[in-house]
Amino acid sequence: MELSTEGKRILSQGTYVHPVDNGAEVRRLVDLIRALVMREWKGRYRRSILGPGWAIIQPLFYMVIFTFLRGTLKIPSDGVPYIIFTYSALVPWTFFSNATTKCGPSVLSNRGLVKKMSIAREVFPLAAVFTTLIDFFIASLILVGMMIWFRVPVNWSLLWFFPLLLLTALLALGVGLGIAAVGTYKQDITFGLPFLMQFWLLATPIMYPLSQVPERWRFLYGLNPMVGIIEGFRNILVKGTPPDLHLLLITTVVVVVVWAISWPFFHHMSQYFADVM
Amino acid sequence: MSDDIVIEVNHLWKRYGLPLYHWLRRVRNRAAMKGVGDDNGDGVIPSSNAIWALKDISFSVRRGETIGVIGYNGAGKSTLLKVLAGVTPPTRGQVMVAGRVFPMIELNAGVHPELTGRENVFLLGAIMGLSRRDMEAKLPEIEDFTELGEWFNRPIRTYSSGMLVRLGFSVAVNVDADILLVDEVLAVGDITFQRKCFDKFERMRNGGKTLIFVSHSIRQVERLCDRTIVLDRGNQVAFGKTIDSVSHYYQSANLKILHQRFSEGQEIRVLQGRMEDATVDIVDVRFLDAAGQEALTFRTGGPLTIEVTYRSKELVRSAIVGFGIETIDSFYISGFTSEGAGFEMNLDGEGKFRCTIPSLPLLSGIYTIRMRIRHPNGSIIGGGYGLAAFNVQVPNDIRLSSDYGVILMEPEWEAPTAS
Repeated sequence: MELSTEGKRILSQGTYVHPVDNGAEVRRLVDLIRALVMREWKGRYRRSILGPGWAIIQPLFYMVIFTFLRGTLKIPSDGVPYIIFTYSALVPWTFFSNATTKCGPSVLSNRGLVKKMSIAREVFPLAAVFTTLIDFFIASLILVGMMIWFRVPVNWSLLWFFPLLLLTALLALGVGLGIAAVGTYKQDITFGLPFLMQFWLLATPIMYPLSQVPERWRFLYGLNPMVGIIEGFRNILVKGTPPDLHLLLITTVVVVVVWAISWPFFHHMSQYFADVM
Repeated sequence: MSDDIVIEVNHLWKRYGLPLYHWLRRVRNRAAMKGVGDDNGDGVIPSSNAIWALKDISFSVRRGETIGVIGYNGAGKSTLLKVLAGVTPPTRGQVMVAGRVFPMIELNAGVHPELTGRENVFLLGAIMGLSRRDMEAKLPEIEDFTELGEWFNRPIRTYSSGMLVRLGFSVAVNVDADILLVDEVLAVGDITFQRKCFDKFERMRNGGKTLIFVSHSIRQVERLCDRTIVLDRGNQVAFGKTIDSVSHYYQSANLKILHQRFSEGQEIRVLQGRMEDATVDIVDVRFLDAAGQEALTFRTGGPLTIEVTYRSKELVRSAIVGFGIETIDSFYISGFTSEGAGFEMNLDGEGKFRCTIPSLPLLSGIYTIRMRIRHPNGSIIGGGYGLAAFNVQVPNDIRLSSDYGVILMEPEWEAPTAS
């Protein structure tokens, strides 16, 4: 620390040192995330009539709309019943879309904690993703019912379910961290995100199959990380085939790139969150 | 950092907001050729600009100490606590904190309005790093301490602010933190709960916990704190034994009060709570020392003379003048009247009267005067409150215990005898 009042220059950056036991810190974070998820989950549906039913309504609603649209637009569905064709894509999509959207205001809505406690701010987007995961599992129950009803062939490729889910969660959190980092300062991004998500929905093979995309656009289209994920889910859930590894590789690369940018960015910005609340 | 030091702050400067923003501002200012000397860019200490919330703060705290932080509104007290809590980063300088910290900042903000008190307690515990099992073990104690009864199982959006503080406080004092940062929480909560909190603080202090205590109640700080920091617009103006810091604060507060009083110019002295349109108008209230000179600072055990200049619209025979002495936080200490003074207090036209307290029994602090002039028929014909303020200092030859109070008592001791 060099400080000369004459020259009016302070050389060092501010530092805050607070040694903590790492093991205890990790346990603390795990407990905290669990508590945040429980709180968010309980708090969210406590004053609603349908409660967790809302987790099912959203993908079902889109499914109904798409089914109507299909009647007029003549969209093919790779030879599987259209209802399960689109619903199997809508469930992971809804998870991704809601998880990402919820990350945006996750820090602001926890301002009580942010202003009080020194905790890794990452826990708030993380808890938002985990909370949405519960919705995902509830919506999946209907999907399981459909799979039984339509006698979908079940085989070992179903084991891809969890790697695919992990990849979806990582992508949602990666994008969500970036949105939270900006959205905590200026909320425009939080307001604009639903529109972006509508557009993204149309740019992903959810209401139509990947085979409908013209060949010359295929590469550009594949850069959308959700393409590999949605196609993968549909392959294992509806067609009983393993995912397209080539598409998944693109998704993985995109996830890594997104994280490499958004996490350090979030981490830097998060120091000053309390200052603007 | 030695084992005994739990908090060390070295040349801490704090400015709110993103560094990027300040950097952009500096670039813009430079582009506009506004000069470099007076900007607030990184690396430059501004001369007098108020943009810094904290300026060059340095102190260290030993384990088991209770430190008070006092100052006017906006002095940087809460900012200091937030930096210590690690909620907001220091802009310049070093801050080192050892041990588990529980910041009792904005306790009344609650955590989640839809959840019950019990669920909020679990959440707070999780934030503090307590496992669920630890929390369940402590829950009865916490529930007991809150005294919330059946409210404990209701959503906290239905709570009053006092109840929220009770909830937060009960968790805070029962989670075994090494360092407690207390920000003005005792202002809410009823008197029995405040009492209970104080007892708990004292027990924690004896148990080797470190407390940083921000308060506007100087009395609380005097009672609790070993050492006290005085902040003024981000500057650390005093740090030392509570008695010294508090008297420093009183002195500056005194100046500030007098300054306010003279703010309208010397000619018309503003007597704050003067009764308007009274039969007997109070023109001036002054304090005189033993030599009859106007003074503001008096010594415990010494004389104090109050001199009142009045202007009466009519002749009032046998008026009764009453004085009251209050602390700066409006705590009424004592009063006396001119009844039975042995002469007729006849007020007519303009004049002065004096009243002397030969031996002032007050301890260090600022005191204000209230006054009431009554007609013999009982009606109030003049007076006011907060008419003037004076400062009291305890001379060195008076031995006091470490806890300060308001009133001087002069005990007589008897030597122990063997029985």
